[in-house]
Amino acid sequence: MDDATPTPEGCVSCGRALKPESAFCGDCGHRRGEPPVDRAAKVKVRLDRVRRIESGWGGIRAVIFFYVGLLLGQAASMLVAHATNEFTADLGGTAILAAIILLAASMNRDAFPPGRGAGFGPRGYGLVFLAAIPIVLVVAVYVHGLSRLFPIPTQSYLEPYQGRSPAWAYFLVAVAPAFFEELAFRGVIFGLLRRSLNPRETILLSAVAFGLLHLSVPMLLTHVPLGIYLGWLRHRSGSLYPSMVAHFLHNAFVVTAEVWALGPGWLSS
Amino acid sequence: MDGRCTSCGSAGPPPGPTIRCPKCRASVEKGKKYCEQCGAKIPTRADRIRAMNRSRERQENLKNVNRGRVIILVVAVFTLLAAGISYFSGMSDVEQQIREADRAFSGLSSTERDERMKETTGMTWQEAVDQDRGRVKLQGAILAALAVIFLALWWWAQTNPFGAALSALLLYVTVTLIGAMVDPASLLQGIIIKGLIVAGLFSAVSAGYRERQRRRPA
Repeated sequence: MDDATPTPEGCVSCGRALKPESAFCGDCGHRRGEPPVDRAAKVKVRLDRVRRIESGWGGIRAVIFFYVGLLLGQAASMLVAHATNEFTADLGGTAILAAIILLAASMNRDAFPPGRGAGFGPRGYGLVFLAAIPIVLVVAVYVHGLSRLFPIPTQSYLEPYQGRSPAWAYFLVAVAPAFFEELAFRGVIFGLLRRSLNPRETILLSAVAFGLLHLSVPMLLTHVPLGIYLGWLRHRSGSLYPSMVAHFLHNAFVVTAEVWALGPGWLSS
Repeated sequence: MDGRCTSCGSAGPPPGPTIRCPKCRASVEKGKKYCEQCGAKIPTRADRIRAMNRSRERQENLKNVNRGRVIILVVAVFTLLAAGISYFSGMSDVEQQIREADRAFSGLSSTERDERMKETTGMTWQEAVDQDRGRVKLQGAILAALAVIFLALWWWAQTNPFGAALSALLLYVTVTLIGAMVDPASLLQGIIIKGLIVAGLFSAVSAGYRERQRRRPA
């Protein structure tokens, strides 16, 4: 070879010799003339995707087991009702479910949204308050329609609290469910599903779980849409507080309407 | 001397054994991993085995997804049948009881009959009849609603097998548990079939999830 023969051009990505007529490097596939590719970054992207997929599936499995745990908690509270009375069952059931939910939330950082502030300003919370009124009215009309269609005597929400302070009714029907159910459905389940699903699917599936856990097929028609609304609040605000407030308002209005319908002396009788 | 044709100057095929690029059909030196003309990856034996495994996995996923759809449809059909049987047989029993009660109260005026009923049940005759019929209608309506929900999930599974299978699994487990709370003995009835349904739906959820991840861009 004489001194005038030029040194073959090397690939900028892998350094191997490139033939003059080649458009691509035969060893790494890099296109001639393009800037070098960060191979380590490409491998990292691929590994991150695999990890994300596996983590997403782990989240789905956790949702299924968590949901079954909540169902068994509900079943346990019904067994307590058979053995004692309904008030003790409500109290015990709330305690059992609260323990399961707090345990799951403590093991799953996705339960707590990244923006832990109030979520909405005063105007937003004002709209949440106003929205609670038509929601309660629609549910009341639906329940009334059901009772006309199927004239079966049903128990009042407040039956277990007769003879006790109304504060118990508000605590166990309005406050505790608003806090713990939101932590469970819009916290734990929403966070786990959001690892791998888009917001729309996450809101829908968490609402389906919320509706089903109330163990009433007729009430699915109200609880699933309510769950969608609460899920949307969680997604829009980036916080659990708006959905907790909306849930509390809904349940508190129901209790207040029931107290008003039964008469003020009923609870203390 | 440099491998070019002295007449037209073209490079010609590379020296040594060559293979054809699967994309542009250019000659590629054996041992090269990419085509030097179009940049397409030249599949190695390991690549072909990996592609075969991926294809087999995909077939398995699709089989599980389809099995999940079939399970949802079967549950829907059986729930609809149960709704029909529950309604017609329940209504027949209730009407029989009404006729027997009517015979027992024969000779009494409607006011006397209402008084007798109130003493024992706290309800008038008509209220008691409406309640019994209402209970049968409600049970039938609940089962029919469940059947409609499962049918809707079967239809939804065509476009979103993962979401439909997960919803069907949660719904089925919930309904089974509600049935067990109402009648604990019912939990053991058909427990093997129930277990197979839950397992089938769980595999459909897993397969549906992997299929949707496969379709998502990297």
